[in-house]
Parts: sequence; structure tokens; C-alpha cells
Amino acid sequence: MNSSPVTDAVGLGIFLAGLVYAPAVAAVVGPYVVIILAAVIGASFAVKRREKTTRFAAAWYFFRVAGLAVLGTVSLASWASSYYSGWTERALITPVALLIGSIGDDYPALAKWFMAKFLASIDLFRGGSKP
Amino acid sequence: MSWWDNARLLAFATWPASALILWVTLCRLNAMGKGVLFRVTLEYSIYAAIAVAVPLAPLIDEWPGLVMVLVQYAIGIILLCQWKAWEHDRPPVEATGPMPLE
Repeated sequence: MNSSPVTDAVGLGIFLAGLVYAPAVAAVVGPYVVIILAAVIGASFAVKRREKTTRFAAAWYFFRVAGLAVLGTVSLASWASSYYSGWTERALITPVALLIGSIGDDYPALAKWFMAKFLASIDLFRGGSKP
Repeated sequence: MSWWDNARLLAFATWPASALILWVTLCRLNAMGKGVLFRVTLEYSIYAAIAVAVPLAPLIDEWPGLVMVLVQYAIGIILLCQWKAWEHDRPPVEATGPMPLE
């Protein structure tokens, strides 16, 4: 860890960086860096799409959406790769994080869109009602 | 100062610049409405990714050098210099469509 004494701003900087960039932290966070970046890019689009709010509310929304994307990506990617053997979990991680991040809070709208498509496809196979 | 301490100090020096870039980016993404061009949103999402990637890079053994620190501060200052265009949290005209030829 850190061997230099904390006596000035430089020492404090080295000390703080030593806490964050410790090997134990790197071992846990390192594999998540790509997921975090994809989640951040996705969450940026979600922030843009929503109505304008206060800056702190927007920042909170951004971190909440990006955090959710980071948490949910590995589970979703491994679930999806178990269904499609051609898709490895490693390849799915980035698009899944981007997707979760960019959806943001718009899950009801997404569900509505899926339901509309689903009902339209039922109508298509059923032949539809003749006027 | 050892190489290790120097590397950690440079990594720590990117934090304020990264926080500035992320804050400015979030404020502008929040200010964007429906009419803002995709490429402008993409630009600011990349700024946000840069702001997050640089402080996280040492965790995958990519330590920033002095040039990286200077570039990070330069990006922050460039974003700050555009404050007039985004004044009152309104996107500039060129962000919402092609500029009219005059």
C-alpha cells in the first residue's frame, strides 16, 4: 500500500489514490470497466431523452440508471447466452449494458410497445376482423 | 518520489478534471430537448465516457501520464469555454439542426 507520510496535498493525493487503486479494488472493479463505460454511454442517452429537470436530479437519475445497468448486465448477458449458444457472455456484455442504460426509466413505454407488436402479430395470424 | 507514487499522483490529478467534465456533460444532456441532433448527444455521451474511463483506467493497469492529465484538463476547459452557447440550459441553434446559410 502507501509508504509515503501524509504531510501535504501531494501526500494526501498519493494516499487517496492508493486507497482507490489498490490491487484488491482493481481485482473486483477491473473486469467491470467495459460494462461501466457502456452503461455510462447508455445512461447519457436516457438523460437526454427525459424531460429537463434540475441538474442534481439529472445527475441522480444518471447514476441510478448507470448503476442499474452495471448491476443487471452480467445476469442478463449470462441468461441470454444460455439461450443462444452462438452468443458468448463476453460478447453480450457491452450491448446489454448499452441497452439497459439507454432504456433508463422507460420500461412501461417499452412494455407497451412490445404488447402492441405482440397483439398485432396475433391479429396477423388470426386473420383479423373483417369490417 | 518513486515511480509508483508518481503514477498514483497523476491518476489522482485526473479526478477533478473528470468530475468537471462529467458535471458539465450531465448539465448539457439534461438541457437537451427532443430536437437536439443525435450526433450532439453522441458527442456528450463520449465526453461522459471519457470522464469515467480515465479515472478507472489504472484499475486495468493503464496509468495516465502527464500528457493525459493535461488533455483531461484541456477537455474540461474547452467544455467550460462553451458556456455562452448553453446559457440558461438551452441548447444552441447548431445543436438542433443545420445552421441557416446567411
